[in-house]
Amino acid sequence: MAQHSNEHLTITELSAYLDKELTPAELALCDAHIQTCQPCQAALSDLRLTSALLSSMPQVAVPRSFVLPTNIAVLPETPAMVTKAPNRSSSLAPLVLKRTIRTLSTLAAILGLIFILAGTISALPHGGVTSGVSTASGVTAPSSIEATRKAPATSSTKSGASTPAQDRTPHATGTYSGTATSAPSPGLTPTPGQPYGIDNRQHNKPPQTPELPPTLNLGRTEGRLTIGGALLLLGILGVLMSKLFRNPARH
Amino acid sequence: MAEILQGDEAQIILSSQQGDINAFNLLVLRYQQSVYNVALRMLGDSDVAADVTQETFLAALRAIKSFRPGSSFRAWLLRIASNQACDHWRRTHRHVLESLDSLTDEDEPHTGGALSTLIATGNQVNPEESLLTHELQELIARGLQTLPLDQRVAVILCDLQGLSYDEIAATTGTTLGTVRSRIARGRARLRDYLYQHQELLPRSYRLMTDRD
Repeated sequence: MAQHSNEHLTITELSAYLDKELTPAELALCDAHIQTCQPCQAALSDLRLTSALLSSMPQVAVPRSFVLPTNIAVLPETPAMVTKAPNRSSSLAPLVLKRTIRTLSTLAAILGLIFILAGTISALPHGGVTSGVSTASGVTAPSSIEATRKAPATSSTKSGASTPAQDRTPHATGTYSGTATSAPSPGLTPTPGQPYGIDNRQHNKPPQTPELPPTLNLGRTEGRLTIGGALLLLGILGVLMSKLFRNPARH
Repeated sequence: MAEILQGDEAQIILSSQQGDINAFNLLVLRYQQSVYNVALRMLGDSDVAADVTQETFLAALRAIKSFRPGSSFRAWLLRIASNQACDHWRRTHRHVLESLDSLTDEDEPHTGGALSTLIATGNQVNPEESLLTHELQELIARGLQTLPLDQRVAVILCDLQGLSYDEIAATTGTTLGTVRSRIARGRARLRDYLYQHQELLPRSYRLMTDRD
């Protein structure tokens, strides 16, 4: 707002002046200024003409009737359509959530596939543990297991290796796979008193990380297969859920 | 029809809220012209405007129970219409960002009154009374398309539909200050657009400016 009559009026003031949408105080100030200011008079004149041109645009006749058929099925009420303008961000929230779930689920499924692949390759007769780990090295998590295997007693090495894995896995897999991916982390801290040997099939192999049951140990083939399968299952379930809970308001 | 509806609109809305399609269709008949024209001026294409108009009434029917009696049904309906039109525009013009701010400085009010001489100073055209030429209508319609969506909605509701600032604020879910600013900036931008496209104006208008 112009503070005194010597300042030129802004376009907003001129436009509101034109529409008589100023407060009495603003109106008095604008009136006083316009009467003595030729540039503002000219600007007001331009705005008035522009507004008049717009107002003179003819109302176009409708090309057809938009009357609805009487047998139309009234769908469930969607108040979001009416409150869309002020609450656009809140109406977008379910969509964002759905996309996030879908992305996380896809990531979990991919991670699961990688684990399964790594487990399968290491189970081949000629493929050793190293080949399996190198296949899955892009995932970071198996590299921490490798570090654990190489230096099982050095706590500093273990904590250093586990940090990137713990940093990345929650982002990559989210809430669905949180419990599954966090399973390796207890294996990083030695817990000697923990019972061992749920699955006796692995007795012929020397146990390298005796703290965990083999099915949860990523250092073992069956551990990778189990966790990979669980992740894959979670991923598929997540994708299916995101498809099932489609927002009915969208059309 | 309009006279009948005028007094009975509240009752018709109530019937519509109770699921009476015939009652709702009376509202369609009353407001389809306004809705269609808002969509047409927003989007600039008659076929698309017709589709958006139909979608607007379908959406309004689904949401009719959320309408609060006592408020302006027209503003409520035009809110749905402008939302539908904006959604359509964003879908089809995703690549065209609304960053056309470099056109001119809208806050510069002193352009010397040249538009008055540009359009008409004689008695040939008085926008208040006579019809605009087809060329000028086309030019204004195209100029509207260049406005950012929020300014376009505000200007269309104000100058073409004759809504008050209060009604526009209710329609767009914004404050009076925002409405005031959007209308002013939209008008200023359109004024500058007309300046920049003088060559598209009919010969008589161009001669006016050539003399300057």
